[in-house]
Amino acid sequence: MTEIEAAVLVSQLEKTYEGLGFKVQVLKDVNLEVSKGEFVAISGSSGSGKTTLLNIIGGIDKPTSGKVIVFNEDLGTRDEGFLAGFRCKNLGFVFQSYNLISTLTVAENIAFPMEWTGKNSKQIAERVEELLTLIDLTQRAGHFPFQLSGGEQQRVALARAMANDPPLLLVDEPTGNLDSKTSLKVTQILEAMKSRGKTIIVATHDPHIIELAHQKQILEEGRLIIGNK
Amino acid sequence: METSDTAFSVNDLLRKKMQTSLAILSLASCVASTVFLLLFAERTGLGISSLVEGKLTTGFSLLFYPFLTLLMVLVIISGVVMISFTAFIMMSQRTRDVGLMKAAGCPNDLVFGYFFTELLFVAFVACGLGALLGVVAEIACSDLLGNFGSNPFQTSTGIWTPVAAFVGFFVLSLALGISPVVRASQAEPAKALSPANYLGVEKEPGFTILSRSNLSLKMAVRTLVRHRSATVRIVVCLSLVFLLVTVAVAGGLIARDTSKSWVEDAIGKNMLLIGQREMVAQYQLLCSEFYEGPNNTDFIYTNPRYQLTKSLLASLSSITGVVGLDTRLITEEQVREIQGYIYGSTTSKMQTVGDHREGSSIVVGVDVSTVVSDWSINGQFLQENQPDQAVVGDSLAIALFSEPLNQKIGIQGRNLNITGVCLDPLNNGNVTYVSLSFLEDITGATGPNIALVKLDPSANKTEVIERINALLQDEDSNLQVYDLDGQLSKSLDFVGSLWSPIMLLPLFSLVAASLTLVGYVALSIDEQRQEFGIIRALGAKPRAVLKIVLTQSLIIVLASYAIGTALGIILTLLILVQEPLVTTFTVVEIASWLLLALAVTFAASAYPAAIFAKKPLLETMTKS
Repeated sequence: MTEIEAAVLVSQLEKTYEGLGFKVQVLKDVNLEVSKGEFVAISGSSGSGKTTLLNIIGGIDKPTSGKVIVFNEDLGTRDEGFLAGFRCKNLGFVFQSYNLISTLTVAENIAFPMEWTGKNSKQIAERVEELLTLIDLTQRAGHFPFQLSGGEQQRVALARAMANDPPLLLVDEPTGNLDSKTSLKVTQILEAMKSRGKTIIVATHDPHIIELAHQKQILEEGRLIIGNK
Repeated sequence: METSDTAFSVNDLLRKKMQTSLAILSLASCVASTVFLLLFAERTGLGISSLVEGKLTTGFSLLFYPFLTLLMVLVIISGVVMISFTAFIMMSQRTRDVGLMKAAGCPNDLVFGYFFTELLFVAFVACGLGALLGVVAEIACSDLLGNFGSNPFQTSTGIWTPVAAFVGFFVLSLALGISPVVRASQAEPAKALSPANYLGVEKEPGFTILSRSNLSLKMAVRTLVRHRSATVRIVVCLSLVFLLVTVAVAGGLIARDTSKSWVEDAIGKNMLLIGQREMVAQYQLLCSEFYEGPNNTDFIYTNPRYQLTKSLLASLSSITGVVGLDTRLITEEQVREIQGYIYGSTTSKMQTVGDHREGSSIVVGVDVSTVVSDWSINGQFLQENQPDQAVVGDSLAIALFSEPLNQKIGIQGRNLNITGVCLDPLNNGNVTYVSLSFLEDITGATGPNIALVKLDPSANKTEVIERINALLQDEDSNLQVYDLDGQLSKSLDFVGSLWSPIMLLPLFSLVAASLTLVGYVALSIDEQRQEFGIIRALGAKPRAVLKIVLTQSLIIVLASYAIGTALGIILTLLILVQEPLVTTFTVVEIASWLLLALAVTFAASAYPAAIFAKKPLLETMTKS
């Protein structure tokens, strides 16, 4: 696969955290290629480095060594100003603990990433309404995050990630804290995004989500072990 | 192994290095700034007291001391509020931790013990550090100002103020910080853990007004409303500081200008003094009592040699450039307080006021129709053809009379109605103005012994003085002309030197306010750091986070500024300065200083926000 075709290209990625008196190598020689429109599931035990890998692909964290190229941009060499714009345009991030902004309502949380793209308020309102319908939370538009259940917060987080219609979605344990019924709803949303041709990388243990993946990877002690493709 | 309260608390504090450091630094900066201000105000007060001992008319003192007292009171109240605020924020941040411990099965008294020990430790370290820093800063600052020759800073202050401040603030921190700990330790775990508790949300907010406003403003306002308890406290705290700044700046400037205008009006501008050499020297001594203290000399004012001839006075008034000639007869007399009558509002009967006090006073006979001075008078000046009237200086009025405007003054067995009390630096306010004819009558003098010549401001002063000198030499070689602008300038400098140390107080209270705001912003950012990290992760640039934090600060600063300055100006104009002199220049000067205060405070609050905005994204997303 050439760089042009790949949505994400990770090669010889290493990540080590160092502090006073400790040094932990979280990722070791990780290599990963994700084509455009591909759905990748990464599973692995807690602490295996799944979140770190997603953070580095998303430009939130920097690699210690190796390359991370996302849509032909080498993120490891770019500054924060560029990365902020890049994330806004190309990436949708769903965090493990929802991470909704407590001072904004459901609708405002979904609208939030669009505020930095120059869309006008009418376009933003239409898109918010569309996404609220998709996640089935139209009635909760004016509520604040603390007034929602965990499942509802996760759906809002998914809608927020899709707000700018980014080509790449990075999703961290989307069903980890949810019951089976709510998990199913989240899985359905991910399936809908897959069918729309989004490139999706999900860190998950959920077999229903893994089932959706074109490429299944297992991360063990910082090393990526190819499951099947 | 069982963990002791102390071991747990110390470990907990060390584990939360960032929070602990911020809490200690915030509290220490509050204590330091308050100790500094107390010591500085004490030194200023002591210095000024020693500076004005035996000088400054009573009327001026009555204007000056309420200012100093009010500023001291405001400094103490601001300090108490700042400490209360910081202690409250410090312990409120731990409410969720308390909830977590209780949920894990920790009993109430143990939870209370742990967190009280933490409070004790933080309060002790912060108050000790703050008191020490305050003392060091004050000594350094006063040394610096003393080296520049500012007299008030060459006095020394005692050790007890910082010790008392340390004890007071330590106890205060415990008393105020214990309340959230007690509340949290008694709350049900679910409540303590609820976002409604740690976010400060008590009911669903309705924000329809802000729906169209920009995002930063919306987020800033909602955060402030959610933390309304803390927001109200910081606004109260900063309002008090701005009140202090306004009283010191606006009040100080207005009082300085007003008191300078009193001196200027009483002495007069573009004035020349003419008289026999000895009389001129004596008049200078009388004027200098205002800023140099008592000058006891036995001087015989009624010596016939000092009287100015009518021909000389006529010639003087005809000189080009002379626009006024005020002839005066100055003597020293024993004066008596004569009882008066007032209507008693409680008794509904006429009652006598005053006693039969006696004292010595400079008595000045003036020709009412030619007086060139324009004193600040409570009551009215002498009327023409009313020889039974007198106007007394402020110091004499307070020393000798109970209700001067309802009493009479006795001079050589003649009783005169007191029509006014004037602020006059001559003989430090121990002066009585009567009509020239009356004074000539009782002393046997047949003319004035000094003449005050008012010059046309547009005239060439040197040339006019030369013309007058020539005239005087023709008349009598012992006659002298003296430029009173020199006396005026010395008196004005003295008034200015009294106000300038007070004007330094706002500078330091501003530093205190800025430190408190920096502490608040730092704690606020720390609380929201994860959320700000998410905002950046979603594509917002660091400056967007900076904008949100700065908007929060700006709202707090502007609200406090509006309240503090409004109250300060009301307090100054209505209570502290009667008949204030407010010129356009004064308004511009006050506005400039107050805007500078606003800008400095706001700029200080930007510092922690700017530091935070530079942090790596992942670091901001991780809860400390």
